[in-house]
Amino acid sequence: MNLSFKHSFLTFLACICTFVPLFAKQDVEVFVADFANDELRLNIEQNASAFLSTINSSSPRSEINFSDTAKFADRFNDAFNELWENTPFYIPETTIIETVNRLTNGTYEMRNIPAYFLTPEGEELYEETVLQFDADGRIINFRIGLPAHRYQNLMLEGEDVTDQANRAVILQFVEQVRTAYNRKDLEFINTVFSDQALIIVGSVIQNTGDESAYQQQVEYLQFTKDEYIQRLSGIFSRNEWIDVGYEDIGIFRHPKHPEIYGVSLTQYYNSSTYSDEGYLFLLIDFKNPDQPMIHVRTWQPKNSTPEDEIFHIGYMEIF
Amino acid sequence: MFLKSHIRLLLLGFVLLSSSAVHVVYGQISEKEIKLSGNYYWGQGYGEQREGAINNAKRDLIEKLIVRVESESRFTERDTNEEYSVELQSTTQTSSRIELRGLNYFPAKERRDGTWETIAYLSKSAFNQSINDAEQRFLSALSYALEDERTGNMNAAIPVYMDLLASTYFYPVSFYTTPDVNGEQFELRSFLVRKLNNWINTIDWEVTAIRNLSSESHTEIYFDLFFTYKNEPVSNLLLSLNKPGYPVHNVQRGLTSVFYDYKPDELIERFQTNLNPEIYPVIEEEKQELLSEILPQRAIVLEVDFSDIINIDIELDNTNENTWVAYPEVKNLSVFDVQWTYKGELYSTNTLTINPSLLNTDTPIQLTLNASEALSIQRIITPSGMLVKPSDAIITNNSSTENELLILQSQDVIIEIPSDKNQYLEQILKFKNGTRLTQYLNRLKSRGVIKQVGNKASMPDSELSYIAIIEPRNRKVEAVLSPVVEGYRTDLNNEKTVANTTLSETYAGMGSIWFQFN
Repeated sequence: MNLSFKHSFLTFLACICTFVPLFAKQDVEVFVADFANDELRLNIEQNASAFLSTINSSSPRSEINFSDTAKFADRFNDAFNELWENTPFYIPETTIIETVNRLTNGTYEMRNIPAYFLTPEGEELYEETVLQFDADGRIINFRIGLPAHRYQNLMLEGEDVTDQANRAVILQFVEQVRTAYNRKDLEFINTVFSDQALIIVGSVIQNTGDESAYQQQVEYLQFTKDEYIQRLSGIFSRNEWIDVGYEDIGIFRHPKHPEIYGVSLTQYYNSSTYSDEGYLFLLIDFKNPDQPMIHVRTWQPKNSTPEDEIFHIGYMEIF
Repeated sequence: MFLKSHIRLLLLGFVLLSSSAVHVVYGQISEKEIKLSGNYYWGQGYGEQREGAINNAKRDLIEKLIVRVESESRFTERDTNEEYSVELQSTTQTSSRIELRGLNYFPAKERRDGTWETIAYLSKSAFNQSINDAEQRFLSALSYALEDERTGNMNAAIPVYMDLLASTYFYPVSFYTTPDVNGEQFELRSFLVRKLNNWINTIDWEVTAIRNLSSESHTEIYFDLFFTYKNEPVSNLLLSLNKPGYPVHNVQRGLTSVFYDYKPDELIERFQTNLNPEIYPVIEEEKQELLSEILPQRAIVLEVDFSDIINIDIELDNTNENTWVAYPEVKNLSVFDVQWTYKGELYSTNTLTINPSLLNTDTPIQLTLNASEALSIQRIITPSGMLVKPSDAIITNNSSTENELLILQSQDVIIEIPSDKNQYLEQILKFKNGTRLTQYLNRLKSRGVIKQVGNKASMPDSELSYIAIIEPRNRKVEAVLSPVVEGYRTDLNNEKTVANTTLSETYAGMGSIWFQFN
């Protein structure tokens, strides 16, 4: 009786152990819902299915070539492999039915694609990812997206159709910036900061030991764009992996300059050598909607910044 | 922006209310069937809590429906008239409260990150059936209202147009009118907005009377107004002076009276007013609330002539040789604050007392009402106790010949005064402006050519009195009538006769001034 029970239990464990990797190897079938253009829908479905199935059948951190399966834009393969090299992942669903949103620049995005990212320590982090397609349905971008409920709430806060369209672009931009850190993509970060960008980074240099959590001494350092990029380059090379997460995102349109938006968020930074949490503020200029520019980036440590001192768009005087 | 956010609140309100009718379906229809079959409208919602996911699913469904309607409407209308499509887009974007009969939900399920998601969906066939039913009701009501309008009963048509306009906001689709004689169809909401706009912007009005019910203690003036649409009296209209604190006046059968409690500053004053359609009280409360935000408004300027209640003159009592007293001769004195200017000094008293022994030369006095130069009058007091106009005083000082040249102060017009009565009459008939004619008659009186001048009420002898008829708004001289001969007067400009007993009907609403030659 006991032997039989042990046997059954071991068989059960063996099944579980073999099930997990098998699960990840499964193909993914993607369906696009509510989309009138049948030709484009089929292209998107085929390319997304092929792309995600290839991911699931690939070994972590070994280079993937999608050219035999999915159609993608130039340079996508290299950019994707930067991410894959740092943070491989798999898709836990076999069927995905999603809508596709058309963005103002004429591209399309499919959101809420579930993924488990693997840390070097073997942990699995759940994220929702986004696939972006060009007008022919070719994949042009893959990025880590905001969780579905946060994205939906931010979009529902849009005051009108124009504001909602701008919000979609802002969130896409924020997600791209975030994913650029995961990919250690200095080139992308270089393109999104204006040459005259004001970059302020605060860091805790001393804890006074007083009762208030806000009594820590914070040193604020100001960088030029070049200095900041140089600093990031050092950080990227020192860390095997970097994972950046955003929460509590607030989008604020400048009352006098509607093309200027302030984006406030809480940033969770984790890397193989360092972790912190802080309030991040970005002043983004959408004068050219196809090429948004960050003019100001400030970071304040979360545990030593009182709420009323968190930087926001009201601090900015824009000429 | 206010309207937009307001409507969003209403939308949310409706959505919350509608959740009482939630019909959760377990295992009957698959997610794939709902999303991919094309048989359903659906929305997906996510939330940290289950309720948040359900609410977001409903909002997503409604926003998808609205967007679908907008894009279809824009496409439909663009082919015919580009300008029209812009209007339609702006109106459709404010779609507010939507009746979603047969709304169903997938049970909310927990996601891998601990948040929740669900799907709200509607069968397209059930939805389309309810839309078709609504369309039939709307078009039937519209046809009756259009018939009312066609037969001149716009007062019956307007409340229906309003009710229909509000009703369109409860559906996330565009309705269209039945084809007209040219085969043209119009989007119903825009059609109704245009109807209401055309109606309110075509309304005519006139000030029919000024009534002064002021007393010593307060000012109380009423303008009686008459509103018409294509010559028919208007109802379902509200009028309000564009001044805070003033009441809204209801226009029924074309009539209303506007209350005003300020002392007039001008003879003719202009009042900024607003015309609003009156929302029919039978219309449901929710629709009334919506209509109050979207109905057209028209700003109009009421030009009110106070001549009938302001007739300024000065009377001098010189019977006491030690003290002369000047009185304001003004109807309803209580409506006015009185100021006198005498020898450059300002006196705020009702009467002006003058010591004649100190009056060695012609001295100007001025009577000013309500501190307004427009309501002031100047006179000259002579040492002999005569009250003359400033222009007449110049004549007295500078000339004594019969055929003299007068200079009218206000107009700089040179007028010849002839030597006999017929020549004077000929000159009188040349005047087209009532004010200038009155000035001329007063000068003739001061010269002794004319014995008496006055308003019609005080006319002593109709067989000797001529009458000048003056239009009170534009002060135009309409006619100069001869004295009564065998019960008739003759219009001296065109020789037409009019019975003396029918003058008030023939010249209704006109002012008059009479005069007698010496």
